[in-house]
This record gives sequence, C-alpha cells and structure tokens, in this order.
Amino acid sequence: MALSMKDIKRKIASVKKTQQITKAMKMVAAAKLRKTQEAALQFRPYINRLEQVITSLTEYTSHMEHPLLRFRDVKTVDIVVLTSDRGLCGAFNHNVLKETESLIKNKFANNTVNLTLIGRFANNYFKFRGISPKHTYSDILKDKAEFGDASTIMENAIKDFTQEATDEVYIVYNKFVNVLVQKVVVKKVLPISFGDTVPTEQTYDKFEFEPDKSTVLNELLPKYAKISLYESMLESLAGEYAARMTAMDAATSNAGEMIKNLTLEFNKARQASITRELIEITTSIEAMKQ
Amino acid sequence: MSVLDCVIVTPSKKIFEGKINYINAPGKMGEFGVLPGHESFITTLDVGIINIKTEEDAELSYLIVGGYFEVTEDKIIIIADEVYTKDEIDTQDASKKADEYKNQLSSMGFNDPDYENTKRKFEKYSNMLKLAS
Repeated sequence: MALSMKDIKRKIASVKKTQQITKAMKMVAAAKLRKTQEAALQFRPYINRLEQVITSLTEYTSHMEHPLLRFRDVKTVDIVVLTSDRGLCGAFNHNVLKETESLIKNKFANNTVNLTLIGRFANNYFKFRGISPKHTYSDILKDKAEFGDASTIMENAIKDFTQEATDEVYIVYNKFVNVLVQKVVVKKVLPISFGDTVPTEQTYDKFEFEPDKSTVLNELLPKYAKISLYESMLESLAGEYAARMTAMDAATSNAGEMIKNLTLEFNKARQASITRELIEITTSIEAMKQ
Repeated sequence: MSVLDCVIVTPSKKIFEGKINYINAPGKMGEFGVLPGHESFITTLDVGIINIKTEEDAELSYLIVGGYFEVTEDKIIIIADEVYTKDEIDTQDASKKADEYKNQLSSMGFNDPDYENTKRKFEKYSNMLKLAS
C-alpha cells in the first residue's frame, strides 16, 4: 500500500474539483458552440450562392480583366493562419500549425512565405520558432466573428496582391464538419479562381451587365475575398468550441474514471487497516491466554 | 405560364426561396422589374425595396441594403448585404435615425468623404419607414 487513507482521500477531493471545472467548461463551450455553429451553418447558403455566381462569372472572364483574378509566377505567398486565443481545446490549434509547417517545408519550399497570424496560439508558436510574421492579430475571435475584422485583414492582403508584393494568398483553418470532427483546410483566396469546376453551358456573351462588367467585378471580387476569410473565421470559431467541448467532455470522463480507481484503492486501504487491527486484537488475546 | 426561381440570401440567413411571377428591385442605375423570360443579366443593387409577386399571387416586400442581382434562364439569385422584413422594423427608431441622418446630410457638402455613406444610411432608414407604412 503506497498511500495512506488520508492521502487518497485528499487526492479524490482534488480530482473531484478538477472534474467540476472541466464539466463547467464543457457546459460553457456547449452553449457557445450552439451560437457559433448556427452562425457558421446559416452562412453556408450565402457563401455557396456567392461561389456559384463567381464561378460562372470568372469562367467567361479572362484572368487579365481584373487584378484579383490575375495569376502569375509564384514567388511569394501569403498564408493566413487561423487559431484560437485560448487553449484547452485538444489538437485544434496543433493541427493547423502542423499543416502550416508542412506547407512551408514542402509545397512552398522554394517560395518566400509571409505569415499573417490570427489568434494567440499562432503568435506564440511562431515566435517560439523564430519566424516573424507580417501581421498578427489576437483577441478578435471571441464569441463571434466580426466582418469588420475580416475586412481589415483581407484589405491588407488585397493591397499586397494588387501591388504584386505577393502572388498567392492562402488561408489555413479548421473547418467545422460536425461536433466531433474539425478538418484542417487550406483554401486559396487570391487569385480568385475555380480551376476545378466543370464549365456550364451558359455563356456570358449573352449576359448584360449593368452598369458594366468592370463595375460589377470591382464590387464583387474584393467582397468575395473578404467573405471568404469571414467564412473561415466563422468555421474556425465553431470548430474551436466544438473541439473544446469534446476535449472537456473527455477530461470529465477521465476524471470520473480516476475517481473510481482512487475510491477502489481507498476501500482496499480501509479494508486492509481493519484486517490489520483485527489480527492485532486476536493475536493479543491469544498471547494473554498463555 | 412559366415562373422564375428566386433565392435571396444574406450573410446571416436565407430570406426567401421559391417560385415567383414578378420581381422589382432597386438597381444602381435605377429600379427595374423582371418577368419570366428575361434576358440574362447581372447588376449591383442599391438601397431600396424589393417587391415580389409569388406564384400564389402573394405580394412580399423586403428592404435591401446593397447587394448583387443575377438572372439567368429564369433563375434569380440575390446576394444581399442586409435585408429587413416589415416585422423587423422599429418605426420610431427608424424615423428618429432618418431625421438625424437627414440633418447631417444637409450640413454636409457633396465632396465630404462621408457624404455617400451618410446618404446610404439615410436612404436605409427612410426606406424602412416606407416599407413599414
């Protein structure tokens, strides 16, 4: 018997307290998840329609017609990394950071990579790695994503892209698939292209633009880039709370398991001490008889 | 008679999806109406009121604040920045704000950098009143 009964009792009390905390955090994450998940899911029809429109629009537009469509030889890439501000959410942040690392090491090994970091986790990680980012933002993803923030971040990227300071812009983030699954996604935002889509029969020759095509493109394309980041932020936020909820749920059940084991050990210890006392009493009686 | 398939979406929700007979919307270059069989066309939208006549002849109106309009082969997609329905409008608040922005506008010159912005806001609230009445 390694621990005394008192020690075990104290340990049980401490684990119980931890369990209470993780349980409370799970509840909080669940409540926030509901809101953020709703926001992310309700946004999907909007982004889908917008993508549909842009797809059909860009299919019949030469990539030279608008600066945001123009693709060129890739020398510098911008990566926007979306992580959370707070921890205790399992492998959520780690997965994104790992993906970013592998992008830098493999896909963009021959390119200059500039990072735009969102969330305290990405900031700390790349500070530790000694990679200095181009822009950092933290504390912007709290309970909900603001379109204004997405807009400011993207405006910087758009400016660099049009001035040819960067040739491609990517976003790395966690996509909310369901409560248990968040998938790391690498999304190319600039230049705007849907290379893998199958052309439809509609042709834009018969399309009429009002006032004209460039005005429509000017309005729509920067907006799409911003909306694209905003969508990632919504998905990442919902994913964060989902990950935290799962992580805290696991922690709570692990604490329960631990309490069960400790209680068993406590009972064994108690039983052992009772047996010992009985042996002592009976041996002393036997001794007195003689 | 053929009908139009119409979808209106905003960043926060899907406002409307269904078959309609007629739609009237505020384009940047002035109001326009679309009936089935309309030529394919694309435009950006201004602040204003959208009127829809559904297949069942019900009339719907929404206030739309900026967006994008596309019609192809009797399919309409409206991607709006903000949409308000009649029930969502607080008339008192809207009239107060409309007056406020109107005063701001009258004291501004045309060259003021905020002029367009304020004008948009004024139009938003004055259109709210129009929709609610």
